[in-house]
Amino acid sequence: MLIQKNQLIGIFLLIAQFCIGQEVDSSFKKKALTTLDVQAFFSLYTQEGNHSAVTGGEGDEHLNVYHTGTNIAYGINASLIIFDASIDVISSPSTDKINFIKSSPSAHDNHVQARLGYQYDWKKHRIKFGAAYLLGIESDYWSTGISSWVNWVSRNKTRAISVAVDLFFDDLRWGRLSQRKGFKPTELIYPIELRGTNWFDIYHRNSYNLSLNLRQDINKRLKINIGIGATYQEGLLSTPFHRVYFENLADAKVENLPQQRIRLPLSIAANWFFKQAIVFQPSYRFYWDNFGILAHTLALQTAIKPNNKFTLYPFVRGYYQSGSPYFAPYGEHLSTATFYTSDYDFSTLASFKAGLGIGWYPDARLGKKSKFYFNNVVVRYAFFYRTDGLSAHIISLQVGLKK
Amino acid sequence: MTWKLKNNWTFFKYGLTFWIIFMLSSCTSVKPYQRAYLEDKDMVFKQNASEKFEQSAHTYREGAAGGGMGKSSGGCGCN
Repeated sequence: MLIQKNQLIGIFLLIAQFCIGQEVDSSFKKKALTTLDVQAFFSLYTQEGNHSAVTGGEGDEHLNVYHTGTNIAYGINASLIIFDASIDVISSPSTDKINFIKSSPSAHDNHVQARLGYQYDWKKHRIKFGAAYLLGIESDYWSTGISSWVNWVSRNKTRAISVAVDLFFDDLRWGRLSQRKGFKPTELIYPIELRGTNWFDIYHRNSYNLSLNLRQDINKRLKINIGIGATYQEGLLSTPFHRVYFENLADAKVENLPQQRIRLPLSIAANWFFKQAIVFQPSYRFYWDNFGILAHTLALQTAIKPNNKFTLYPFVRGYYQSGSPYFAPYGEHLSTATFYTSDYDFSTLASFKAGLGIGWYPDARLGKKSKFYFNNVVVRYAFFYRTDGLSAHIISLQVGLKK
Repeated sequence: MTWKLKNNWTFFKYGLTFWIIFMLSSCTSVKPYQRAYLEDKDMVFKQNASEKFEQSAHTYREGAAGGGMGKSSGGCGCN
């Protein structure tokens, strides 16, 4: 098709007139896409038992923990800022037996934890990566840590791989929350009658965790997750106020465990959407460590959805571990042993947990013009029983808002 | 003890290998519009805050913590 020269100039001028004559719409501004997810939670843990490690494996193990906190995730375009904070108020008459003075400050303790992190979503490559700084403070404990992670999702979303590395640096000296000690860490706390001896010349505990996860969709109703982990810990792995009584010694000693520990867990979990309203969430976990503990955990949680607002979560969990050779009950250790503990967490035992959760997901605006949505309320109760007689009740409430 | 440990490991390794091969071999292609069930909030492998708190209780009362399951450090809960 031939276009004459003057016709071409005419078309050009016409287009140019439109372009020049068009005003820039100043009312349009590119806005950042923001999201906000706030989860607030409160939990109560109450425990009864009769194998307190503070008194050498025999004695009251009563413990109450009031746990409250919040998780906040604020997203701006591809960035996500994460802030978590929680406090545990711990009431433990058995810990009071460190110095046998009733109602001493050791009967109550606070544990404060905070986490501040950043995650970037590199959408082009379907990769999310982030890092966080962690801080934990207890009267006899100071923990700082760094956590980092990378998640990758395949193009069709059916496969995801994630890698996480956590580093914790703990200081087990007491005194940070004590005005009497000038809020400075000064010493390890030993049982009152054993304070004449300097049992340990180190006070740090460092932990290095690596975890790898593979998530694979099997079909449109089933997905699995395979997780492999490795933890290396070094430093003071004994708890300095745990007593150990011996068969052939009149006096107790402070618990003594090796200064290096390697832990290797491996887990497999599946989520299966059955029919229209039930999700089965079975999981199995295998664990081995160089303290001689070999453990198996089998759990099944089910999500039953009578409608899209409510979900019931009945769950059961069974656990078995073969004990560490470093463990012996009260008065049964031989004085020739190099490593010894009477902490029943290291004994051969099985435990069982069962309970029920109820979730309400209204997904409703807080007010007519509010940008916030009332997202979720979840209440959970769990009963925990350990074969050495320890039992515990755990009640939790979680409330979530979203923007 | 050694025999039992070795036996456990062997059983675990073969079981895991068989299970993974079986599961992966039965994978079918899932189209984006078929992901309604997979994207459900209860199909996500993630613990909520309440479950994490229960997990930390296990960390204190059982020997098998760490490696991406709860915290393996930062507070002892040791009474």
